[in-house]
Amino acid sequence: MDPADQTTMLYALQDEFEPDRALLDAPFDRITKKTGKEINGVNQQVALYLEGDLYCYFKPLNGVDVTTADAFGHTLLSSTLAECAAWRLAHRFGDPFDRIVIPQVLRKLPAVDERAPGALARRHEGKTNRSDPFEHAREYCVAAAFFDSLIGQQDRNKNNWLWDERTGQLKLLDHGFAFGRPGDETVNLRFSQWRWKQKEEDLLEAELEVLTRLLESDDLLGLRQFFDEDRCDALSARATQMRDSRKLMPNGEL
Amino acid sequence: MVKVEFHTAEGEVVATMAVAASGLEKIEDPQSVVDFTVNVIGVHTGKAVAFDDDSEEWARSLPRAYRNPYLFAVVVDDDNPVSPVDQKPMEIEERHLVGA
Repeated sequence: MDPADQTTMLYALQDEFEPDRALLDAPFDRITKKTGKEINGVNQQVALYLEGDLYCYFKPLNGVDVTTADAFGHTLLSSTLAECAAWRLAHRFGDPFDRIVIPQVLRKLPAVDERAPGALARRHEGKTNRSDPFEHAREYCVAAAFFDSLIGQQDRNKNNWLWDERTGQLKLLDHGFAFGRPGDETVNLRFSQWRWKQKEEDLLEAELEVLTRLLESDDLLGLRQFFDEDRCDALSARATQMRDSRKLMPNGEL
Repeated sequence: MVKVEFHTAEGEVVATMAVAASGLEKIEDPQSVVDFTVNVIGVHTGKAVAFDDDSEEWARSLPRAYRNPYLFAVVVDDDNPVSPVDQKPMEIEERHLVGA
């Protein structure tokens, strides 16, 4: 599929439903800080405000470090679309997945990059690099393990989640290197490793119901309309394997 | 020797460290954000590397693990740096479906 066709289809799907409409509709206000791109090997991060004091982080497609993307078998476009695809799946799956995955939308912000869009999300409260969820939010960790296993998360290190100790909320960050295909690299799959170690790899009935809904959908709940065919095929194969085995994917297997 | 800083998107530097081939030389990490158990895809090797395998390669590859706006790693000094890559930007025409 042509990149412009992919982004056009995703824009259309977002227009149909996106619970956090402000991410799509609120006019751009100002950039707070833009950093990273001038340094080789670092993804560009842009902190900005949309009108209404909506504080967001924006990852421009052209700000993704191409060597890092390549190491995970991704392109600039697939990495950006993966961010949005993860949120769209989580939203379609419903509770608890839509509570632990941060909403991300595809949006073009010409003030940052006139050439291509990027992934936009609100800034959330919390700290990275915390192990607290394993002690204090076990049910979220169980859900995170299922979600990561299904979407083929390729790197869920402790810097890729937020822990808000005030609310006890876990938020999964950074799905740019997910939807891996067989043979792609994986590292640090903390939640699925934890669930296997707990001997809780057997899927819950609610998780099996999610898999059934995904597999009975004509277009993988919308993903096939805009996302890379090989990544959709890999997702479908994982869902089938998980449904049939009634277990998480074996660790590191995509 | 590889020196790494850990930044927030707001520009705050929350941790710094220096790593030699023999291991950790110096670290200032009051918030305990540096995770020495994290594996990274090596920038030279292309394979997963742990701190104990090759501490310098691990350190210079940290930007591949610490890569979100809440906290990202920046290599500020490196005796064996990665060659810069000429990254060609993509141009994607913005289209919206009629009636969507």
